Amino acid sequence: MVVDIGMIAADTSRSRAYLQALIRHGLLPGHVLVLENPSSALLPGQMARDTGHGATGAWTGEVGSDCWSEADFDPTIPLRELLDGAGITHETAPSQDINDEAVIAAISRRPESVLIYSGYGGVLLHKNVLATGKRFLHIHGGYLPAYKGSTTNFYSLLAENAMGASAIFLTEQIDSGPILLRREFPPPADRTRIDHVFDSAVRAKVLVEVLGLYAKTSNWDVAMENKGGDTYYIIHPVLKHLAIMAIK
Amino acid sequence: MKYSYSGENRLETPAKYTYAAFGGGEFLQAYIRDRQEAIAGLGQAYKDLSWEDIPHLLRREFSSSSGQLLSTPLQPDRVDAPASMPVQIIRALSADQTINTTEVLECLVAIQLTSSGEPAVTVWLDRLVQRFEVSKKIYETYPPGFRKGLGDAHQVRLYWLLAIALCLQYHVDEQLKYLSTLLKLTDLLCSLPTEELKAESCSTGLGWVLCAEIAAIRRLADQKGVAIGC
Repeated sequence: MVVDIGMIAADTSRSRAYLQALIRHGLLPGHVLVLENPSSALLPGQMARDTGHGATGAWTGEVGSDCWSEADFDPTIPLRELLDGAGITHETAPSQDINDEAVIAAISRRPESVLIYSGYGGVLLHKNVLATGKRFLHIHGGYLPAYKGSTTNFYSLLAENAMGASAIFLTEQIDSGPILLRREFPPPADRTRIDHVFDSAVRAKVLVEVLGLYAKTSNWDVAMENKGGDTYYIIHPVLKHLAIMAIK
Repeated sequence: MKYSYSGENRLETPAKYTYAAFGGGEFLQAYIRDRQEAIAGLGQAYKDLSWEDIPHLLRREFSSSSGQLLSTPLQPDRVDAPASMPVQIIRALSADQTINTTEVLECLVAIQLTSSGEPAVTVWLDRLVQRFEVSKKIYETYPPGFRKGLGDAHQVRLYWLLAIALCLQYHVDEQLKYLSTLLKLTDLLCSLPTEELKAESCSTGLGWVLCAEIAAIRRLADQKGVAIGC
């Protein structure tokens, strides 16, 4: 268990990638607050059951490539099953909405000072959450500071044939906290799986690395300032298709 | 395969672009067909534009002295006035004041048509893009702070003007964020009844913007080694 680290997690493919990576590397959070989706309708970041991964659900591509080491996760294993299997204590948050007052109160009650944040897609933390005094460790799916905002890995694939992930603490401005660590990645072999597998994998890779550094040093060292860059919005499907189908 | 993003009135029901499903080459072909049908619906013939010809064609289309680009409150010869006039207006504007969106957009396009390279253009373009992307609407005015808009959000002309501005800007700097928002705007414009576009004088030039958009997509596809197949 990593000292003084908790987690806030929705049951998304990203959270499942994070948990499996953390378990694999022995970097367990002390406690997880689960933002549960009570309805049958999927929320952004959640995957339909039929993933096309095969009978076992395990991803069988990209194994052995170091930069893609965290792509070897099973996105079909529910979050609670992972938590129970690893013996990680967890509780259900009073609401699926992290900005809900009762959830903020639950966050405030936690003793950990740093919480890994892996919520539903497209939800921004309001200032009341940040005012709890906790630090929210977020792994942005994009190479900061150049690529701020949403679906940035598709934009960077089109512009530079690369993906990225960057570790920051959340601030009021989108994707603007000082950069703790950032990495670039080559395009994955199967770009049709970026949304739920490879974008999650690059984030999990950076999460493991930044937590590993903290576990060794007990410090959160800032690698660089996070100034400049552009803010991107959800990529239009036509451009998303070009990013997926690109061969150069 | 049907291209669904312009399939229903997107002013009334904004399109959802989150986690868009992958449809392969068929999807891209469906997009091209959708735009070509829209162009035909406007009474224009689709033309395969070369990348280099686009700025000249758009300038010719929108810089006519008929003033179709401009609304009545402005001087009708604004486009033909000294290039500095819209620049002076745009430089004097601040997000801390109430903004008339028509005025900003007409100035932006007037400046872009003269290719003055004025830095304030992208400042205001980024603000308008942010507002549209967050709310899927463009409002008649924006109060100080340029956050939630006020007034009519169904002025088709505003969406048309922003599409022209993004088309012109993308040709200058090839910033993908502008092309992405342009595609969403043209989804919206193509989803509207042709009579509504004509009623707000927006059919003029929209066909050329769609041709330019297709040219931009074909160019990008070519650069990335993607064969669209139509």
